[in-house]
Amino acid sequence: MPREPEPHAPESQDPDDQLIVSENLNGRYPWRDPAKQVPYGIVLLVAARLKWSPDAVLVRLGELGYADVQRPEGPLPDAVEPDDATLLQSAERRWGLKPVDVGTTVSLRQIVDSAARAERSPADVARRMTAYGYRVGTGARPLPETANPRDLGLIRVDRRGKWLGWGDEVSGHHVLGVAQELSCSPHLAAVRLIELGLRLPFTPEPADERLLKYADVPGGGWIGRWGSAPVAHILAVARDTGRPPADIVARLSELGCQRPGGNVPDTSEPDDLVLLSENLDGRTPWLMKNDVVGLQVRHILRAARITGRTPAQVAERLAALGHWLHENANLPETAEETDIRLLETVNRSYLDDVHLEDVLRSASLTGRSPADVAARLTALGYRLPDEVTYPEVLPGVRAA
Amino acid sequence: MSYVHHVERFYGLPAFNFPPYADPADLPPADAVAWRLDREPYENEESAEDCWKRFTESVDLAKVRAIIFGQPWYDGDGGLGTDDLVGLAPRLTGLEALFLGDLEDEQAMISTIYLGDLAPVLAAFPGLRELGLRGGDGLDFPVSGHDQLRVLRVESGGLPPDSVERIAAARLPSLERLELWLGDENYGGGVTVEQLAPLFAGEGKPALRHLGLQNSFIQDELAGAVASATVVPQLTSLSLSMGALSDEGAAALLEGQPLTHLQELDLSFHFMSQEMMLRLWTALEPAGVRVDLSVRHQPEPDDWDEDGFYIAASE
Repeated sequence: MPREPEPHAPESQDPDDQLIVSENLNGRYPWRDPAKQVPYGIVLLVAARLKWSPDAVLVRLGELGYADVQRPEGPLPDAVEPDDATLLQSAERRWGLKPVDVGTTVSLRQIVDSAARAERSPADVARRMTAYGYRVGTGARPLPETANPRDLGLIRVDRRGKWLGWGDEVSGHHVLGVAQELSCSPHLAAVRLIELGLRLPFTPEPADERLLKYADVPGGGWIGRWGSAPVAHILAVARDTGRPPADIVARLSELGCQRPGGNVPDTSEPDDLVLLSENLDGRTPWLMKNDVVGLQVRHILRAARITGRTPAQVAERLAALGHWLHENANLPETAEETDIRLLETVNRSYLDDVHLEDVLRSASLTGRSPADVAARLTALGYRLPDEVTYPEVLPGVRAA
Repeated sequence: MSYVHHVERFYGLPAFNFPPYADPADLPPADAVAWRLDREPYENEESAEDCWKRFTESVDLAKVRAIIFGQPWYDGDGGLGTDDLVGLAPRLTGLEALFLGDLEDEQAMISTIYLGDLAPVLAAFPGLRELGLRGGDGLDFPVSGHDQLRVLRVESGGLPPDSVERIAAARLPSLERLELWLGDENYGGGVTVEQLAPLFAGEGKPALRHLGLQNSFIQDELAGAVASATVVPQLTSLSLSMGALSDEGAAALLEGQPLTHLQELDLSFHFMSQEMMLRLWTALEPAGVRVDLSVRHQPEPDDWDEDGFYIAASE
């Protein structure tokens, strides 16, 4: 059975001609339809590939029957650098070959995407595109002269196809969000976004860096889009910088942060940072406010032993700082190490029932009898609803 | 409560998501973290190919100790697999730990995560000391050739019986910890006690100190086998957690060979009665065995399931 002729196949067997009229510039089917306009970007890509002038490409296209060829508003460039071919490919390509459209202003996303692919600076890419007759709406300021692989991530509004455009207003919320996704400093992200011609509701300041970093963990520790600054972080920044806590809170709000996780006092007490640190050492990680179950009693007891306050005094100060204690909790008058050790084994909150299996687990981990554990947890305010007789048996000494 | 979460620590290192469009200046030292590679399948997400390229260009590969692969290297549709990883073996000279298939429930059902043939990975990294796997679909585990492996953990909602059989029969002379989530036969599982016979006999794994046979409906049968298994005296800890362990299995443990040499016996997530929990605890704890009986469940029989037992992770 004879093969169907390929639509729009060229009569010329010249490899250059076949490349020119092939849709994917590979000299093979599918062939370009002469009834459709040839995009200007194709002219440039052919010129780059064959090392011809764009004018020569236009002439040959005409000779091959392609009369309708898109042109830029200005004159044609004399030549196209082969290395620039990458810049002429649309960032919106999903498959096949799609050149950048000269009929519309080149988008910020296109410039940034091309820069990333070519490992060149956005300014360099914009200059090259302008030289080829494209309109690049860079806004008022020049684009950055340094390449940065993160640029594409910075201008990503969401993961489903939306990007920031030239001169768009960007919220602090966006800055915090992208910085979190990219594991980079929100301050550096803000600076770079401005360099890319975007507008922010605040002027980034180097001091923001300290305000926005609340933990020292690999690649992060920055306050994120939905995170709120722990009170201790604000107090620590105030101590380190001499700025009033209220000033820090106001600046964090400008930067897009949520309200602080707790009450920020006008004046702090000497051991506030100790009370507000997870390890009671006055350093990160800071105590995060728990709005569901409240404070852990073991934290209060440990804090009492370290600061010399009574458990009630610790609870009172932490309450003033916004960390509340569940109403069921019975705070002992003194902080005993045995209670702390016991409470470290309890993973139930005051909202939960403590069952036999939880008591047995705590007994196992503390070396106390289940009966002793059950009695002490009851005294501390936990609910133990199981009607069982808790054994007096002690766990044995563990093998080495 | 789901038992399937992203790995937070691996090989003693904090897991660190290799960020999209990463700038090398922001990255931690190569040997300080377990590198997680994971990309969501969204239009604007950096592609897996670009992510991998950037990872290999920005991280000092010779110093990398642990890598965790998530989506799309592994997923319910087959995934990209580890060809790129295997190809890079000559540069990953310090790699000692791999976790394959670190996906959570909302990314893919655990039973659908395709693992495939592990032989090329194990052959490419003979110095691997820890291997974590999540999924099980298509899992092919070679019987020998990984003498350095210390830890093997397979998290599955339905581990193919022939895969379990091969792992049970595998010669792993350095293996100290083996954890197998056996899963549900409705989701690809269904291993039998007989298929685990080499494991119970202690064959091929002389260094084994921890054995976990978890997350199955046959926990009672497994407990029965453990009661007389030759391997048990060499263990320091044993886990029969996450499954349908009932009073029957617990009684078998109590009536079988002594377990008082164990340091830990993890039976958490179970269906035992309170009486049986107390019997077990009072029998073993005074001897120094730390018994974990937390997360007790009650059977929930209905028209479709007369027994009403369930396991921690299946779909």
